[in-house]
Amino acid sequence: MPPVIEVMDASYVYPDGTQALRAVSLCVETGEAVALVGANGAGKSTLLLHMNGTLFATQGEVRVAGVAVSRPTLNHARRTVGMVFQDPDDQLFMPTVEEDVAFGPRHAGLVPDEVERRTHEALARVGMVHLRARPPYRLSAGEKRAVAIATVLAMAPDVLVMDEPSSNLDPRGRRRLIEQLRSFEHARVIATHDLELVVEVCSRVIVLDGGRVVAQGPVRELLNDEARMLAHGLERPHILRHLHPH
Amino acid sequence: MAFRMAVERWLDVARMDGLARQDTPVHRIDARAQAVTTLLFIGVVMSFARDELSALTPFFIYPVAVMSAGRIPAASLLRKLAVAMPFAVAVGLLNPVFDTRPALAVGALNVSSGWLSFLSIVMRCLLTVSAALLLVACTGMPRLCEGLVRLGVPRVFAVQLLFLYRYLFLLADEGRRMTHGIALRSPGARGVRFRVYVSLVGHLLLRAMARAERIYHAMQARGFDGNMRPQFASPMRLADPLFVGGWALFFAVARVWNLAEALGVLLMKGVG
Repeated sequence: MPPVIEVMDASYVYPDGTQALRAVSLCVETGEAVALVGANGAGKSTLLLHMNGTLFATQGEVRVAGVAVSRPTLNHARRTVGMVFQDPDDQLFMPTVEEDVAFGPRHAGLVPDEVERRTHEALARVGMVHLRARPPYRLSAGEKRAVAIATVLAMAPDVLVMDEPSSNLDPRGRRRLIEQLRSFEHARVIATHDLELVVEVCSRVIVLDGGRVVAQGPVRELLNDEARMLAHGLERPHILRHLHPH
Repeated sequence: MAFRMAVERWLDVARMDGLARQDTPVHRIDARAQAVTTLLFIGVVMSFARDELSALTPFFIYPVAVMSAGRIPAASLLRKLAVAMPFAVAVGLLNPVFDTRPALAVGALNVSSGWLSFLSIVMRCLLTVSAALLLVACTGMPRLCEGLVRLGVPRVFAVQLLFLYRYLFLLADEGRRMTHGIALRSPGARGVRFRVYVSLVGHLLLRAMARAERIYHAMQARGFDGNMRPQFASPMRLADPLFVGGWALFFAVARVWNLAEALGVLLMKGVG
């Protein structure tokens, strides 16, 4: 089986001339959780937007489940890759939580019963069924995040791509998020500055700097390399200090 | 701050949407039937002569009936009407100045036809704006837009309307954050200086555009292709044509006969 996501020598230049990605190559296998870390402006968000065809590589190629992402194959990419955006307010645009979660399945042309079933299942998965009739803009940050994840789960993707999922969450909300992320059977690509979350959720980490992949490897091995982390505007997560003898 | 007030009022309109999720006899009426009735109502109200006053009064029955049957709180409706009223007042304000022909004598007081037409404009504004607000409050924007499409309004207009409505609140939200930022850094200042204001509006536009694009991406990511999929598709019920027909009949009768005058005559007869 081909990897669910394969990025091959992808470069991207924004219309204003900013080069955001420089020959990035990486691979995400079925069911694995991969962290994408790097300083602000390293190209994490830009890279994520390539994974469902929101942006197209200026050079190189992105493959989703073996199919090159291009305009004709866009539907395939968007069905396979579910994207959770950084700001839940951008993602929740319907008048109620329920309608928002149903938006994707409905646009996939599913019959009403199936839309209903998927909506309920996705909300149950993130523990938000009780909020289904509420307007999304009235929810707390943690609830919004959970609902945003439900909107994507309802589309039954193979890969979850998330941009800063733990930002703006209180400790309890963050803890709940971590438990959920660990429980998903989907392949997960998580761009984040929350390195402690990376240690708890991911098995592999990819470090971006200046639009290039500068390192990748097993989480504990890479994040423990203090000199390397500092060189790319990161740090050695505290949680790892305690797991190892001083 | 005037700008902030305007923003707050717009956000208040958002609460209209919350009212749309109620389950009342009016809310159960098909969105198409409600839209048609509202259009009929507005058309008939606007068709009266410019200085008509008494014949318009029976038309208040429609918004009042919809409001009470739809359990729409009067206070929230009145607040929104207050936003629209200054425009009507501004439109009609000069009528009494230019048109001083006496039209009506109330005791020793001569009322000019300018005053009559001014009051008529205000009254019509009250009627039509409250009917339009009630339509939104009793259907909700998504259901209303879908109803419009099923009535034959081009899909692209209905989708535009829906997005306009959605982005409006985002814009208002951004505006609120920015004015807050300005207020915090200019303690004691009264109002916003013109140059700051210009920059504020420019930034607001750019921010709103950036956000609109992010939302569009999020929608695309979930399979949006420019069409809204019907989600409220329900068959017409007997109550729907009855709702339209009943009100149309009432509007027609009230248009042809001056019911207020007829009632007055009737009462006088009773007294006499």
